[in-house]
Amino acid sequence: MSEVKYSHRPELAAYVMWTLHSQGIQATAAQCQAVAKDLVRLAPARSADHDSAAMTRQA
Amino acid sequence: MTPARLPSTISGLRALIAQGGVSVDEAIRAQADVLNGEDRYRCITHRFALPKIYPASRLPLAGVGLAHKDIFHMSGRSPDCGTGRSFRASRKNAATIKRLQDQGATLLAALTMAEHACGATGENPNLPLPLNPIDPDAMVGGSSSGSAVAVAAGLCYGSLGSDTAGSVRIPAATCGIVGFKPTRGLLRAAGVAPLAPSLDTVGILARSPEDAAILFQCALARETRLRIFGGQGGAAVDGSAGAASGVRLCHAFSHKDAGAAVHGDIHEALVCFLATVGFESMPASLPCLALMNRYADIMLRVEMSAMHLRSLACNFNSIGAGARALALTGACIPSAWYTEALSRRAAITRSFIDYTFAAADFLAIPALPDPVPDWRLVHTASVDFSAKALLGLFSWMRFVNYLGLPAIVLPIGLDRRARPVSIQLIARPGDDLRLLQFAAYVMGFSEQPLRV
Repeated sequence: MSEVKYSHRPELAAYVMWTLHSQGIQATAAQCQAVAKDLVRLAPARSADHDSAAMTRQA
Repeated sequence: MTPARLPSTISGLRALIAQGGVSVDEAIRAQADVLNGEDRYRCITHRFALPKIYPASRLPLAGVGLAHKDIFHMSGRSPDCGTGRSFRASRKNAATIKRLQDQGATLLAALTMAEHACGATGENPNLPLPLNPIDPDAMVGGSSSGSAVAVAAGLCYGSLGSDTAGSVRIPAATCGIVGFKPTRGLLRAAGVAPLAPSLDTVGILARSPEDAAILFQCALARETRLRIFGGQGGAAVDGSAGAASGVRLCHAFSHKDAGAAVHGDIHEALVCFLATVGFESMPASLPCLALMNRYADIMLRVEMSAMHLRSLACNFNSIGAGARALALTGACIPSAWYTEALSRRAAITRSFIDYTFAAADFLAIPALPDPVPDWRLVHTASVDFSAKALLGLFSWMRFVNYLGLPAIVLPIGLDRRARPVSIQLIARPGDDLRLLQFAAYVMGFSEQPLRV
């Protein structure tokens, strides 16, 4: 998964379709795109890690 | 409505029974009559037969009728979990339900919910929309939607729900009642259908913090009850000023990372309310909010997916679109993200507690960022549907489940459309009793009249 680019939505949607199919789930292209959109939102953000480090220091 | 002869609170009812004003069986029959004659709120999935023998009046919940989210194993019935399945027998009884019954409570009904507890509203493809007793156009929050409606409508004195990302607190806030999410793990989850076990918390919906405290005390295992309540009896929470003595408060009524901006009217109502109560409150910065919400989201989706992936592979339409969308994303989340969310949880929780509660006993935040919306804004089949409005309902909820902290939502007033505005109070883990005591004191300043 680390090789998948979260900024590249078509590549991610293709990965989602492959992942779901490999688990026996036949999702449509639109459903895979919706999952890809969710994954982009959930992907690690640099700012969040900075936030965490700041809180640990302050504590 | 609460039966005409009966008080609207548990403590009021118990006092009436103790004075001989009503017997236990009369009280239960009156509540059952109201509940059985009512279906306009569309919040009931199953009505239980009344007991052949009524509990002894000395028991703390004798005469108190309860109904619970249909996610618990109850009296020989498997939970429906909002799937619309027909009755299925079960030999199990949820641990918390059994304790309440052991303390004298009578089980009246099982209540509607979002399918598989997935959803910030009561929308469910298998069930009709529940009706908000405050305003028929107003949405009902989820996933413990039936619980909030039944309590707000006076159909029962209280209800157990489950809270994984706000599922007790959101519906309570939309119906103008109290939603209490205890410290994670205090109320046992045995006999409760899981959504995301690392986040799931059994919670209580009631008309007042006092009632929530009575139910909480009775639902706890003996050892835990002694640890939390000590030797104090049912009057441990009474709304007296003593509960506020020496309390230090901090607040965060807006945050760039909350996921939804707080509406000006809500912000003003919260600020005014703290001023009315007379507390000086320090601003809290809530560092790491976006990260905690993200981790909570990842954990929910991965664990929910693990529960439902097999049935989805057998039949893609076995669950509705909302729950299915969560499960599909969960199936594609890299395991490293989930491991990271889980492994950092303890350290982040420690840091959050040390930082936020270093100079404060309680943290006050909004319950909902906007006034309670109309159904047309948050119903996914509506032409006016707004994903932003729907997702905004979660924005001040998820991180609390990630941290496992106790939280309570309570109404503090009414907005321009006479819909409830609520505040959310959060405490350190294990400070549940103090939180309930403080909430009871604070609610004495609420402008919202008790409607039941």
